[in-house]
Amino acid sequence: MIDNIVFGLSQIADIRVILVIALGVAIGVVFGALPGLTATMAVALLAPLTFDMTPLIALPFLVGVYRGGLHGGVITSIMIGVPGTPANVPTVLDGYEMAKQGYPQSALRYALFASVAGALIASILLFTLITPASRLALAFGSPEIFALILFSMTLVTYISGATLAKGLLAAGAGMFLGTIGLDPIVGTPRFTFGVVNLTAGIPIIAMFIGLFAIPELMGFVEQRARQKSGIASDRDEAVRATFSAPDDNILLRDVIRLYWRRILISAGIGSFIGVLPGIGSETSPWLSYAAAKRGKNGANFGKGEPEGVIASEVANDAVVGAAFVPTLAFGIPGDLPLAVMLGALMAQGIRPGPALVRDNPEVLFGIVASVFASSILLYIIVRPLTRYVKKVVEVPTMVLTPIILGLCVAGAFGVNNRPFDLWIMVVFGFIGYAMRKSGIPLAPMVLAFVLSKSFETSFRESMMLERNFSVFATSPFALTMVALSVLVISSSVVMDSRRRSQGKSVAPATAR
Amino acid sequence: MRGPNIKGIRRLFDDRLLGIAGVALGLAILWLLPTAVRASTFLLPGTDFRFIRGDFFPRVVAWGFLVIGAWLLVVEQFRRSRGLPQEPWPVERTTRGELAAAGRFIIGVAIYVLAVNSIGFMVSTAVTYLVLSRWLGASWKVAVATAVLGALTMEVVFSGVLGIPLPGRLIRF
Repeated sequence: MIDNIVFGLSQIADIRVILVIALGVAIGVVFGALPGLTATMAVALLAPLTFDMTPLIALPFLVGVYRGGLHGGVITSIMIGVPGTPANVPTVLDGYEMAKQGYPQSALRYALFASVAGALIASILLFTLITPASRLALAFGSPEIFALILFSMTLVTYISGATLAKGLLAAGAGMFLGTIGLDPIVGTPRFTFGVVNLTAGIPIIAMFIGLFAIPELMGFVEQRARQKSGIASDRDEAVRATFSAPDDNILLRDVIRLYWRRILISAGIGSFIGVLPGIGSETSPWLSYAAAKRGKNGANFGKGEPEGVIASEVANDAVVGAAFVPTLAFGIPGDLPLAVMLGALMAQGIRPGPALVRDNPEVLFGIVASVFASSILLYIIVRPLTRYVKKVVEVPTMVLTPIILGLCVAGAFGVNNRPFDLWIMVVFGFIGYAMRKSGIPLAPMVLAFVLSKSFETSFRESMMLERNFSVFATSPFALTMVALSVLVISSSVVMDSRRRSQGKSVAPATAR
Repeated sequence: MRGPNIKGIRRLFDDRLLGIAGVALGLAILWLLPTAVRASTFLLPGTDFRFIRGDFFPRVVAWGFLVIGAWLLVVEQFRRSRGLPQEPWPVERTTRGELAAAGRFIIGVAIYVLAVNSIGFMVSTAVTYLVLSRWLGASWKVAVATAVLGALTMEVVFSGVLGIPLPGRLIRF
């Protein structure tokens, strides 16, 4: 391991490389922090700029953009309750609550420390385990991937904060929306009804902007109406009063001392999910969050519990390092931005796959070292800014609302340059608002939508193998995951029924 | 849907309505399946192995909607028949005035999208910023500053610095 670390770091031990990583992180953070702009978009937009660079300048730069972009998403998640990426959704649950309670700076610091810790641990694991982890990931076939996604979605439905029926309804809606577009196996259109723009499916960025950002703006408008009718006090006054309260000065050593166990567990979960090809970063924060919720502070989750932010962000960033394993070792992107980065790698004339370790070890370990270095640079760049970022929330609603709306339109349009995407944003803005008002959680729908293609593909591929359901019984891992999923659902149904028959509430107080 | 002692709309949808929506959605998908998923059903000709056909997965989702919709209806009926209290609603109740404001906002966003595609990003954004700021209570000074500086900054940052194309071609600066 030491040899790998020394070799990797020696590849990036150049001031130019360090500077481009820092630049990448800074640009990525700006992208991620703007609602509607994502790490994927940042990597996609900047990748063409790197084609003339050497691989060990270009790829560390893109790694920096990717890392910064992911962390930038945390800022909007905490400050305005709009997740920058699907992977940041669990962070909203506690991070935004912390911000609303007057601790935005603390929430941002918890998230930053967690991100850095997760990525550093994953980098070290990556240096150590890249070869054996590659073997493990290769051993995962379609039944295992299907079972793992099933389990993830079951957990998300379970912990989403609504009744099981509403969680399942939301997950079903996400699944159905995910089937729109080309059939992932045979490539024929489904539910497109002749609309060419739907052939590639519902544009994910526009949909997420609609679901998350537009209802938030509608909430601002509602608040204004409420204030006008004298039902509520001035929101901006209330926010100013809240945020003028002294915030905790959280230090890195305190976070490590208090939460080292959670950091290690979440990093383990994130790293494990990350090495599985195709699962991506959306699953691990939820699994980690669910695991943490079963701990001693579980009752406080969803109410502004720092451990919720840490569990989500450690796993989220641990995936980043680990997701490079399938991307580099097998050429299977572990995540959406990594798919774009894979293209940049191939444009450099480097063929990802098992031969990469043999033919271009300097690139492989240089990238791994860049993940490591970008985490440290992220800390150095973002740490001093946390005290100023909270000023975002203090911007009056009358100014913030139009600006976010403009960003939404620019962000939704910017990915595909199609007016069609703007209409998708409007439609899903309305749907998101209706779901909020109906108590239907967004999280199961979002996760189901993101994973629906992998879920369906792995299921159909599994069925092609054995042509019956016994395919899931032949793999101990798949069988365990399916059994756990059934257990979670059935226990939830039983508990709901018991509580209902006793006249008690089945739904927790919050749903998002 | 209105609560007994509450002025305003207590819930946008109650569980019965959600149940009906679930059942309707399930039926609609099943009805649309033969036309919406045509070619992929001919995968592996000569076999009748439905689990790997393109229509299998949407069919499962449709049946899921039907079952969950029916479940919500049955549970709500059970609750009413037993006289059990209604589930506490996990979101704040919405007054009619708030709902109307939210409705006006989404219509405004749709008009903005129409405008942005026809007259360009900068002009439509500036006008939208001005109208929205004023609507939300900003003074003319703040509204004009937000409109001019906001739209200009967006255009410069997106188009100029980041090279991200913005919608509209008719009027560009």
